[in-house]
Amino acid sequence: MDAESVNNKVRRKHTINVVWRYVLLIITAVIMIYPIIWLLGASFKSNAEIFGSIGFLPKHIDWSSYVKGWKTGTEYTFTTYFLNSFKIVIPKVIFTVISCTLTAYAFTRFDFPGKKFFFGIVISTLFLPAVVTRIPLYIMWRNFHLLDSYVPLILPTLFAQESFFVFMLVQFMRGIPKEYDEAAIIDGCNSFQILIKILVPMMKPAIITVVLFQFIWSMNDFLQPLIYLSSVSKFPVAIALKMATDASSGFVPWNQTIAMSLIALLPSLILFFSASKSFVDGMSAGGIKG
Amino acid sequence: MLSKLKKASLVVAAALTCLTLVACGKSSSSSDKSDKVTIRFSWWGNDDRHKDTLKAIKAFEKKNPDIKVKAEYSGWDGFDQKMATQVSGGTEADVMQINYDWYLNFSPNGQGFADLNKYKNIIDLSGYSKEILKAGNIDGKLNGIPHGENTRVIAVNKDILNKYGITEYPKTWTGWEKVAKTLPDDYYPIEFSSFLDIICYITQKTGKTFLSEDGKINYSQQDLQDGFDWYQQMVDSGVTPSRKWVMDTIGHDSIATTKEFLNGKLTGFFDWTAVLNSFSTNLKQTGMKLDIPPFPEVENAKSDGAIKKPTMLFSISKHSQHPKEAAKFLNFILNDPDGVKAMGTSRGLPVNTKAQAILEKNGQVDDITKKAINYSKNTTGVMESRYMELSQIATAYNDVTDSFGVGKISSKEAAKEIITKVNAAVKQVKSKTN
Amino acid sequence: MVLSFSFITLEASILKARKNMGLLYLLPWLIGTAVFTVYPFISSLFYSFTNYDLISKPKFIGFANYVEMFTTDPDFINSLKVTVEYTVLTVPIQLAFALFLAFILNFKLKGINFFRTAYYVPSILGGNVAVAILWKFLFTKEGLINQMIEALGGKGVGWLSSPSNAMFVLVILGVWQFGSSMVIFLSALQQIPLDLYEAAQVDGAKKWTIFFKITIPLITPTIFFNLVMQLVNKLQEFNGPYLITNGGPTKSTYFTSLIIYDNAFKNFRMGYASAMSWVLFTIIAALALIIFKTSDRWVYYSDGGNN
Repeated sequence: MDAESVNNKVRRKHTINVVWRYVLLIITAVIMIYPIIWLLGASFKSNAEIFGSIGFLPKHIDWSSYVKGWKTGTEYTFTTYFLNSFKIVIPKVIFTVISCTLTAYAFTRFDFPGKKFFFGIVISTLFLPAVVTRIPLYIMWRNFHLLDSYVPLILPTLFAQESFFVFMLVQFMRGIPKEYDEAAIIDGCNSFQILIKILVPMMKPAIITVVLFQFIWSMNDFLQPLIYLSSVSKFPVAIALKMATDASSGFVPWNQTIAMSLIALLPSLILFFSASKSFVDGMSAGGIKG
Repeated sequence: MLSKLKKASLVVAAALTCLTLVACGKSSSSSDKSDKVTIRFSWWGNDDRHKDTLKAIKAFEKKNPDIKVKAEYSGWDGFDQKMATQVSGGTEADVMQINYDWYLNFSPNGQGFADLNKYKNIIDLSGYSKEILKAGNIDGKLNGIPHGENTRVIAVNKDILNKYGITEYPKTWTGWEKVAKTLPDDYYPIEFSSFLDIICYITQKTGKTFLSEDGKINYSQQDLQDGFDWYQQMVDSGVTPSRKWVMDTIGHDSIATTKEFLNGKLTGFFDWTAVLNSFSTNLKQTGMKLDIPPFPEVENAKSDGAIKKPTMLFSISKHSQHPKEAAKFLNFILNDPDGVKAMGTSRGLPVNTKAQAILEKNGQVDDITKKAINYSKNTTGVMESRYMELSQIATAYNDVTDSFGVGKISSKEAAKEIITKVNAAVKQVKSKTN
Repeated sequence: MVLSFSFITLEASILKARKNMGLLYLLPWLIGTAVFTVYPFISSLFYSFTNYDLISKPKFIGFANYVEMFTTDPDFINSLKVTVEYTVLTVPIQLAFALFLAFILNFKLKGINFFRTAYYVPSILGGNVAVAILWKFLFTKEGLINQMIEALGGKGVGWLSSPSNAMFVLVILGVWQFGSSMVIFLSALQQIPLDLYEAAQVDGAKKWTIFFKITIPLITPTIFFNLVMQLVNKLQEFNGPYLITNGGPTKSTYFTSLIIYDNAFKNFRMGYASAMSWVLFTIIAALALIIFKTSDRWVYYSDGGNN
């Protein structure tokens, strides 16, 4: 066999490999998102059509569910609700990244008395069902006179109160060898510079993940805002989506609800898609080729 | 960063001081320093209800420029938790829309809400029957005024029945068994599978309601067993699909949004009058029409057996700083022609006869609702006990009905279990409040 | 720079006063926990020993709530049983699936972004109302799943009337929303230094050998994290049974979080609900402790593992 045919063989094998991967990816993608595509179709249908047929193509495309859905039956349109959501979500994301990174840094790179105990507290706050802390928390915020404001939703994130993210960042930070820190110390970095210049860049994928999750989960969170906010003018999208869903009180235009649910997914989707790109940027530092 | 930390710790310190200082304080009043008084009104509902209620608020504010009404509304999802947290925190709205059974939790001794008897000179109650007002009465205190009345009803898809040659509705259950035979095998004339529907039958036979006002069971075990046997007979003769079929096909959702109802295979159903509207709107989209046949009965019925209950009561908070203004607003939406017209029928038809007349005169009552009023007027029934809707008790009887429906237990066992489980649940509820 | 400058001075002064730099970084968390977490936690623990109906003051009743749930209440033990069953079924499948897809999505292929996003979409939906409608469309008698079964020559299945089928439906929903674990795996894979792979490839190692001998050990901290988090989440699963089965049929999917919710906000027995929560808390904590203890044996930390 001459070199060229070996080369061809390798190339062919590579092509087959790639084809296989695409087939697998596409099949899984279809299973994953067919239901969403069906929802997209449903947003154009009437109630009778949504529940009466399982095909996803609507009889006719009618954008009115989007127009009406955006207007809502309330005093405000979705423009207001989206702005409100961002007012809650953006500070939450920023605060979470900063406070959780600092906390994770403390837990992974320092020794101090009570460290194990404190970390135990971080983890164990995840174990108690939120249902039973709802009333005490509510009463606490009432006593702070901060009800019907965004403070109860945002302020805790400034203090690293979301253990999921602390725990996650701890796990990632522990994956980074300490030799990097030591090298930096020799270069004259102080502890804060080590964090900012060495660890944070290396943890870019993890930090992006925190941004993504906090954004998406906060966009979706509906119960907390519902409990703390009483003014409709302050409601975020997640509550607005459920403003009309009470079948016992009469007719619910499900197409509008679905239409708006899909629109509400968009910010998260766009963010996810662009963040996924920056995952790729990180590929130069990691990942398998081909 | 440092100053931020400093600031934050200052905030926290201040907050902590607040916590210790006002831990027992009541909710802050919502009034401004100006002459204008603000009252808050909270409700749940769908889009139509939000629109109509907001309209009514505007009309009220126009007539009463010194009072501002802050609307606090959302869908049903999570509303119970919001309400519970607010009541336990003492921050509930001045005027609230309340569910019938909530009073047992929020106001077991009638102390949970303002006593509306005090505002009789502001709120005109002359359009309400004594009977219906009893629903809002707890230990002699008028905790709430019912907006509407709900009656158990059977409604059918007229077009499908006509298609198969049924133009006259049967007046007895046996008559419906014949209809079931006339229709194709996979068509069911009346879908029903809840314990409430079985109760309707037993009420027809005994003339009594299942639970008394204070939660005692009025039926004997034999009565209940007969009820379950009768239900099984309805399943066997194809009047209604089996409970198992219903679970698989409908889940725990309303049948108004099922394919089988929309294509007419579930030709009719047994439900509350208040939901007729959503059924009829959905069905209209398929070009078919909903109709209300006379309520079928057993021979020698002691009552028509149509269970009734009030829907959505309005209450005023006992913490309200402006109870008089709240009462004024309540009177406006319940009695004032402008208020009544604006509120419309998005909460169903009001039970207040004065309001009914206003709406009918104004042409705001649609076809199916008109039929429902006539039906409610001409059908005798019993007022449902407040205990019936309470979650623990509903779980108890629904569970047994499910077990019977999927064939896990016999009618005799079901009857026995209903008695023990419901009694236990009622005891539980009562022990909590004592 | 101003930022880091203020930190340097702060560092110096703090170092004099206190030996431990770590506590400074921990300060926000410490304050936050003292203010936002301790109070509600202690309150709910206190409520668990009381009869608290949300409207009057809690009445102390000792261990009565704890006794009740293990003696006279048949639903609680049952709820623990079905919740554990659900967790045991869902977590391994979901994690394996998430890891496998993260591995595939880590390839450098054209359009990989699209696939990553597509796979994550179900998880963005979360507990949205649309999910309930969607699931109805899939799992009712004449829903998509049954139609597919029938097209393949099978017989339609009653998904929601039989306990095992209803559980299966919830497990599928749980697995379908694997996106978060997948993303975390993906970012862990991204963090693996490329030179490790290159070294292995130079040594002529096969792809699968690389995967099991290099990739997996390097991401054990993440596997550990996902395992703990998924156990915690699934043992507290609420949305699925709440939106789709409502705990039925005959309480076969009446999960612990549902029974806690019902007692807290429907039955107004906050004391009892708190007691149940603390039992659930103890169970999860015990499980987590076991996993943490065994983690020394299988989790590899590049930082030397001094924790």
